[in-house]
Amino acid sequence: MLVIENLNKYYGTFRALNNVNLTIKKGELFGFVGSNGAGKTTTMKICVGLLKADSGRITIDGNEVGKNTKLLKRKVGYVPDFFGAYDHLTSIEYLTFFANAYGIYGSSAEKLCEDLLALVNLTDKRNNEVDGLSRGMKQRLCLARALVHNPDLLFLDEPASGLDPKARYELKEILKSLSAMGKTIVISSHILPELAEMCTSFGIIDRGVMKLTGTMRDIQNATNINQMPIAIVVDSKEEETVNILRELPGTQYVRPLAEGRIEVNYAGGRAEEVELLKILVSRDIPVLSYGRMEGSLENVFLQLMGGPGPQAPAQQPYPAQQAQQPYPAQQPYPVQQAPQPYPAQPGPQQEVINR
Amino acid sequence: MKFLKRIKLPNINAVLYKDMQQRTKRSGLMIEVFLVNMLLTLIALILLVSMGASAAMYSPINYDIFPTFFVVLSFLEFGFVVIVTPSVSAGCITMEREKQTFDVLLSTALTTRQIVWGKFWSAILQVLLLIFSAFPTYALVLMYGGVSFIQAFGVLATLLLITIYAAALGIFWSSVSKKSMVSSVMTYVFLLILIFGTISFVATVKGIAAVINEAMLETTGHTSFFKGDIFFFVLYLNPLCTIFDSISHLTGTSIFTSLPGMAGIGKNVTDFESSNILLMLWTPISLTVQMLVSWWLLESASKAIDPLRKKADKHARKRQRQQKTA
Repeated sequence: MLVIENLNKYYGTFRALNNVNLTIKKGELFGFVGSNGAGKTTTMKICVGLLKADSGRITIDGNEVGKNTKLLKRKVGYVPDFFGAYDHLTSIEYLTFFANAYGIYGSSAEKLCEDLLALVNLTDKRNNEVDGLSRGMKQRLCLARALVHNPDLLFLDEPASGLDPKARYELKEILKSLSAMGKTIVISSHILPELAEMCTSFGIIDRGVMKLTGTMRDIQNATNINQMPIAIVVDSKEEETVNILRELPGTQYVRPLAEGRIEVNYAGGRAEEVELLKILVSRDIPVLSYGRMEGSLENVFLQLMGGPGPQAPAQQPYPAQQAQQPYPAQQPYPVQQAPQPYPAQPGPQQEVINR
Repeated sequence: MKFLKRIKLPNINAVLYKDMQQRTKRSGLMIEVFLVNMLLTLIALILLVSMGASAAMYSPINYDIFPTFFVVLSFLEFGFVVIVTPSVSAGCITMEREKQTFDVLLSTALTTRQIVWGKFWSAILQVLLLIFSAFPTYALVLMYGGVSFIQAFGVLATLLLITIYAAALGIFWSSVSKKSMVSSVMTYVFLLILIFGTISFVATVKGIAAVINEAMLETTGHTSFFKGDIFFFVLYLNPLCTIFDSISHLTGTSIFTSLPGMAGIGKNVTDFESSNILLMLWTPISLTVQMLVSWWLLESASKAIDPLRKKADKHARKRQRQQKTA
């Protein structure tokens, strides 16, 4: 669907994009991850024809961007990272304007706009002025606007920024339904857990360089993020378990958490993992749950950005304050909480044992 | 009435339609129309009352006052056009940029030309509303005679074309500026240059030519070939000269005798054999020139807002050097 080859873009002497290569297949929901100024918006703007690349090639469905602009504009929908509202226009007038802009007029435009308002749950706001809508509603309206010409490929630049959890949830549901309709969606966001939940593939860009692309599994395999800690839940004997783990030569660090949960970074592969479980069972430790934690998109991103990764716990003495619970009880081992864009990894505030 | 529904009206430019929707909902537009018409009517009433008073004292009524009345109103309308049009047009594209709606607009299937022409016509229509709403005041003059409908129509058509000229200038500056303030200032500055700058320029050139000729005559006994007459045609760009010429048959004066520094210029145009025709057809020629300039300005505006246009890259060499050293 979308192929980007050796894309370069300069702003003056600043290199915003450095030989970016990317392939997105039809029907994919692609999460575009990168810190501010990494080049996400620039890449998207070049793809939708709002910026000219200095070199490189982009093809959408085999059509090169910049050559048949009219055709490409009909294939692509774009939601920018800000919502510019027109004064004195109601939601229906706003959508009708964009329908007209794509050559859809009269009753067909009217019906289309009504359908789109229904799709984004804004039918009751059809006669409200756009300026008076809440941010979440504006964002949904903007999404409806991008769908007015039924594009195959959608670029959404930070669509969830500044939205409250409810609005984010609603937006996420709409995006999921659009994906189910077979639309290819490229979405950039700072809310990585949500991206990880929604997207089928990812691209991580840093200072104009595409660091990694692929599915979550591909990304995990490409980084050493698969060396994630093992999460153990014991019914009792928590301190004893910690001591056993500390004695084992393969243990790099042990982190006791609340309610019998223990996190251990244990060197080795699958066999060593099995061996460790055998040891615990042989020592009569009542193990309720055992398994390697999954590397999250956030961990991968932070590791690539040079931030605190999961293998970089702070040096703190044991026993630590058990009362502080970094994770909620109902979620056994989530690495991050959804609303936190960059939650703390094992760090100075958390209880960590180092061997 | 069913057949009316079957008639397919041409699809209006989306930008024009949207802008007109927005403009008509603004309370400011009504205030503008009210103020302009109030001012014109007030002036018309003052003139009529003074005429009535004059007739009461020195009857009979002097009917020559009606063409003068028409001329005053026409110049007032010209003033409104020159003042209002830039304020309407100069913000058309910059406002989209400031409200951060421009990227979305450019990402639609609309071409940059459609966007520019849509903006242009929406600005024109707003100013036309001001011009046409003044018709009842004009009718006061036509009612008493002295000015024919054709003459009045000619002046109004000239005003319309001058509006197009001023609007095109505003749209051009709006397309190349990032802020509405900058765009408005530049439009007004350029209109002032076109109105007063061109006259000053021609007068200066003629003055210099006269000094050179005098010096040549004193030293060599012959005058120079340079009379500066060719620069005279710069005045075709001047909308004030155009409106002046279009009402000259009512005032009995011409731009060459009335405008400061212009006295006698027309008589001395010798460089072109057809110069007399060029002078006689001043209004149509100058309006044609101004429409061509307007078209060029709008085309340039379309190119200026095209994000994929080729731009001169000042930093290309610097980057190449940096890459080599790296």
